[in-house]
Amino acid sequence: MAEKLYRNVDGVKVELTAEEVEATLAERAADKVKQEANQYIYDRQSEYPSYADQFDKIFHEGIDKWKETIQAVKDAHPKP
Amino acid sequence: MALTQITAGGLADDSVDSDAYVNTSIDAAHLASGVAHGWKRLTSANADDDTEIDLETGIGATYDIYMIQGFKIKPVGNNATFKCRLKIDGSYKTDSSYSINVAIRDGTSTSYVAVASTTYDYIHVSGSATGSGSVETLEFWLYFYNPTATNTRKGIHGRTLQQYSGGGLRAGYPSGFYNDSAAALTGVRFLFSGGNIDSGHFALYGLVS
Repeated sequence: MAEKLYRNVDGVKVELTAEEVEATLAERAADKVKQEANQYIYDRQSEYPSYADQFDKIFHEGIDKWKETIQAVKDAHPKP
Repeated sequence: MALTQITAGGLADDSVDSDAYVNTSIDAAHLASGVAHGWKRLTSANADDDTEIDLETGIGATYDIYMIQGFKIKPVGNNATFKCRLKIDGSYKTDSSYSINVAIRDGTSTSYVAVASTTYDYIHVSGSATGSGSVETLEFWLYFYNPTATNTRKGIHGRTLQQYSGGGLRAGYPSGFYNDSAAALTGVRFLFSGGNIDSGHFALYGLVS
């Protein structure tokens, strides 16, 4: 039996048509593929130090130490 | 605005305060219509395992500013992207003509992360995935203007707060617009990637500025 999905319009539930259900499930499948492919980007972004901290590290410890810090984040979240 | 000074019996002890005034420009008609200078709730919806939430009633030429509040929004599946689509020229637009920008900052980070694109098929509201854990929720406040204008692109902007696993708060500042039409906006839709909206309260307000 086909899955039943509902749209809530201003507080009133309306059942999606078969075509709308099909389109919704297709979009969700595409989203899943995209999310899995891009998750490493978001994971890395949230763990990189701020620009100010990165510049400070370069100034005080040099480029090689800065590279070590950035590489550690990349290694923790590799590309799929 | 017309102000009339209260000259007798204005205070609880029946004394007169020279700084006490009544705004006589707010009459019964204003109060009845709700178009005095305050937010008026136009419509609302409580999500209950719904695929989409649409807010449409009340969007028109009556109000100068519209605000949508969402509270305790939770997806059925974990780590879902919270999306918004606009009803323009009579239909909810799903093509890749949304131009979006959202800056987010975790409670544990000192810098912002941005998600930006000119080819999304939705407006990315939260900027990052929303979890379905017991403490995880998404709250948002989104605004839009002049929905009936036919010579401007229609968009929304606002802010979000996301409670994520571990007890942290993530702040987001989303904005986005549909870049392929200047027709009137008559509805706003919300949905999650990957699954339904488990729960949450959505409400649309209008303000005469």
